[in-house]
Amino acid sequence: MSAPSRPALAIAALRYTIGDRVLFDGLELELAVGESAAILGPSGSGKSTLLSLILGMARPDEGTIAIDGTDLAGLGTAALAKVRAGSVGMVFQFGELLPELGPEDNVALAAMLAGDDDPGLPDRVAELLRRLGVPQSPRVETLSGGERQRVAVARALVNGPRLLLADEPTGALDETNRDNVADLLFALPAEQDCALLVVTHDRAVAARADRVYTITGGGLRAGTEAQR
Amino acid sequence: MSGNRRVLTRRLLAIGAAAGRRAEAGRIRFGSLAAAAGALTVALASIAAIGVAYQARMDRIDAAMPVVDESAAVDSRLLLMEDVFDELADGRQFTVVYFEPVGPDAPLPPGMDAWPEPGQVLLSPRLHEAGADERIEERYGEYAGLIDPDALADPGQQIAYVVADGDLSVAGEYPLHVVGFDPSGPPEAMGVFWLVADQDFSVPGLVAIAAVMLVLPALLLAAVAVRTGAELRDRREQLVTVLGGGRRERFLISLGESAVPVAAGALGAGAAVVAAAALGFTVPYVDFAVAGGELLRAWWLLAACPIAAAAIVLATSALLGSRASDRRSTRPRAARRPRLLIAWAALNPVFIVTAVLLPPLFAGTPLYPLLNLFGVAGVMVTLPAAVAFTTVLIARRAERFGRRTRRPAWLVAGRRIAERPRSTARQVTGVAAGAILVCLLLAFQGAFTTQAARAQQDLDRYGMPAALVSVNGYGTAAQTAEFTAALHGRIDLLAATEAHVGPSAVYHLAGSCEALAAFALPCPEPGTVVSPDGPLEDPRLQRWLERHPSGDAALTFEQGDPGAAVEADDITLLAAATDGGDVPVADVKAAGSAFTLGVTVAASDVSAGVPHREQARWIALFGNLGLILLAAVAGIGAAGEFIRHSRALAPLVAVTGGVAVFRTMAALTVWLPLLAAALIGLGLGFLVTRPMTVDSIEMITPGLLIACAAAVAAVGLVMWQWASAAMTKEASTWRPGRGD
Ligand SMILES: Nc1ncnc2c1ncn2[C@@H]1O[C@H](COP(=O)(O)OP(=O)(O)O)[C@@H](O)[C@H]1O
Ligand SMILES: [Mg+2]
Repeated sequence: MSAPSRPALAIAALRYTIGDRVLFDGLELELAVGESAAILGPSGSGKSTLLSLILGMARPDEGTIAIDGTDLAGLGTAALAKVRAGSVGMVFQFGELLPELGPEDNVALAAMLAGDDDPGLPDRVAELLRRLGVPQSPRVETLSGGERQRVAVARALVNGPRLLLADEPTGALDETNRDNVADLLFALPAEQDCALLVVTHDRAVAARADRVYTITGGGLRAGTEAQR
Repeated sequence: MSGNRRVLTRRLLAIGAAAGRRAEAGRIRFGSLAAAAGALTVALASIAAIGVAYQARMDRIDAAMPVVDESAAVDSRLLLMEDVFDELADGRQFTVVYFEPVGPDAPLPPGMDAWPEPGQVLLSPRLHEAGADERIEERYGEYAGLIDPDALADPGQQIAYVVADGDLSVAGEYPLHVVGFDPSGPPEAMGVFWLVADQDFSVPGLVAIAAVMLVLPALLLAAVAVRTGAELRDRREQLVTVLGGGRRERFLISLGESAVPVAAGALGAGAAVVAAAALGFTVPYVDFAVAGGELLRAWWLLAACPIAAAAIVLATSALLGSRASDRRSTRPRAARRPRLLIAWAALNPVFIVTAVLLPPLFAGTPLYPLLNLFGVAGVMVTLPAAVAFTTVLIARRAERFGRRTRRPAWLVAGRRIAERPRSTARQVTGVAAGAILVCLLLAFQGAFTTQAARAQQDLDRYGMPAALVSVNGYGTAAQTAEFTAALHGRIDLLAATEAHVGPSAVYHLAGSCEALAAFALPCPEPGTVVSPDGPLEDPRLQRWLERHPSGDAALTFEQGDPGAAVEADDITLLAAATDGGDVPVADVKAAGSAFTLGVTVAASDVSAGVPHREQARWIALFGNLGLILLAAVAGIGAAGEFIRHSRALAPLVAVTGGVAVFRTMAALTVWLPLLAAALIGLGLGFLVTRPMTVDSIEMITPGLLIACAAAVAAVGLVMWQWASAAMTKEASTWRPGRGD
């Protein structure tokens, strides 16, 4: 429905301060469907805060953030929630799955919460899990860390988001699983028609992205080197 | 060194306090710790209050002990005293004490300042109030005021003082010669207040009920509260343990964390207790009044209650510390044995049938109560398994329902409970068992009321077409005439004597031709005794004879003067309302003031059940409070668990929306189990006590059942709101990178 030219995420002239600390000033970022970007930065540099702003959970002091062409600035709480539910998927650092539910239910839950009433949901979920290589299991408790994170990825995808966010998605994984999950994640924009923004402090993960930025001096600088 | 230790102590206390302030479910933790300390304070204080109030009451009952000296000279210091019983419709028996001060120096009974005129009456405030419907002021003579309630056994006592308008030594049967009132009087003397002491609930019984229904649930509440939202504290305790801290260090953390809420709860409740004790209060529902200041005579005991309660909760908090709840343990869960559980669960309905349906097959044999008791015991023992089994069944259905209809709350809550049914089952079982226990206690209490229940059934079935009236003490013909005249036109009266010929009763009636005619009896020649020829025409007489305990009574009658019969032979009178309705007992009693000591209307044994019924209200009151505490135990436990387990859902809900999921989930996991527990427990309790209560006054009234269910549901409602508000807040304040 959206014109191919419309970016999944567009941030312009973003300024955000916490107290008298200027976290972002003049930050720009544009991400089209099918593209991936990684944002690197040391702990405390504002990576999670940037995600909060994109999710509309914090309001910028200046500048605009638009998701799939919708400027968040004018939206009320309900409209914001609708944009989030319909256009944004998110993978959390620790997965945050419900241990006693199976992978299918964990994934379907996100669709149910977003008010999805498609009768084909169970098939869609099964297909998604199969494609992501998640084995059958009555409970995600019994899955490995990497498999659990795949479930979390499937859950982020189930609502067909235009923009996929991931906050330290591999932070809790060992090296092998990290590589597997990272490969999976960065293959998604092409497969799933979405844009991917990964926030991480892991260069090896960030290296898989189409574009890599580092938070520095209140803005984003292309490349992996922070300049002080 | 000791300086270092002091610093460390302060540090550890501060670490604990910080954990308390920052706990995710901080408000729930604060609230439940405070509630536990407060509930325990009140529970302990109520036991102390029972003891103190009882002692104060006994002291006043003793102060009303007359010093009797039968050999004392009849002079101005002597008081003649005789008491009779009376009752209000549907009320307990009380004493009416008749006094005749022989001279101006006669001792005054407790609660009276000066002697009223002969024929005047003082009433206790409660009797005055309760008897207003029956115009109690007119019953014994001329109303002259109230008895000072401070001198009564308790402000709720019913008693009347009457200054006799006749000569007690003539009219009375055994007037006591009283020379004073003195608590150290000879113990065999019956005090003015002996009847209330006799009707009292046994104090050990009351204390036992308070212990089971108040203290025990309050202790359970403490045990649950100290584990609610304790994750942060646990983490700090574990950290300190890893760093080499020991029991003392852990205790200090626990103290620092729990001290403020526990102190707040204990002091708040303690202040409320002291204020109530100082101002005086009426225990609701049982209507027992405690005068202001009375309990303060044991102020140290009341002061000890919040201190003891706080100490107990803090000790519980320290004892049930982090080691007791290592949930992140990787040990495999103990293998469950579902077959055994199902077998136990299946036995539950078998025991219900045993308790309810089998006893009637063995009516009148010892098997009747034995089968019932066996069944009840079985129901209690198999209850946990039955509840657990049913919980799993229902949870699975809820889960399927949620999946089919896309209701995430049902899916998640159902799955959660089906996976770990134990905690839900435990909470439900606690409340349900409490409810069954309340029903059992009330049924046992009802067992004392068989006689009154029969009398009540009788009264309900036959009404009171006629009643025997007997004169208290001795009456004269003139008094009888006055009595008869006062009732003329409203009540028909005949003299009545009961004789037994073989196994059957014979009533012999006597009256004027006019009086006999009022009962449709012919007027025989004076001096001849006749039996009615043919069936009785007067329906009142007919119904009255039918309900004689030994079956149909026979009848003879003659022409005669009831007044002479009363004066000569102390004969009873048969009274029936002229209009054919029920005998207006209050009117007859008021007319009875024509006699020096009044009359007794021998209506029924209904009043014998009243003290038991009133005692049962104590059981019901404490039982309901206990259920509220048990509901709080279950509700707080469930709320804490709900918050712990729903936390993983907060980020997802924050991103995808649908905060309402927490409302429904909390309703399903916190409120609904409590409501079900109350309904199951009260329903089962009512059911299994049926065989015990067929022949007694029903103490388990619909009103009581509804009140208990409503109280539990209300507690559940509060917990539900609390839990759902906590999670809603958590989801709406979630931000990326926080809480991860
Ligand atoms: N609510 C807040 N109040 C004050 N400072 C905050 C708040 N949230 C974040 N910060 C600060 O903002 C900075 C950026 O935090 P964050 O976005 O979490 O960094 P990152 O995810 O890169 O580690 C940090 O210095 C953090 O302390
Ligand atoms: Mg972060």
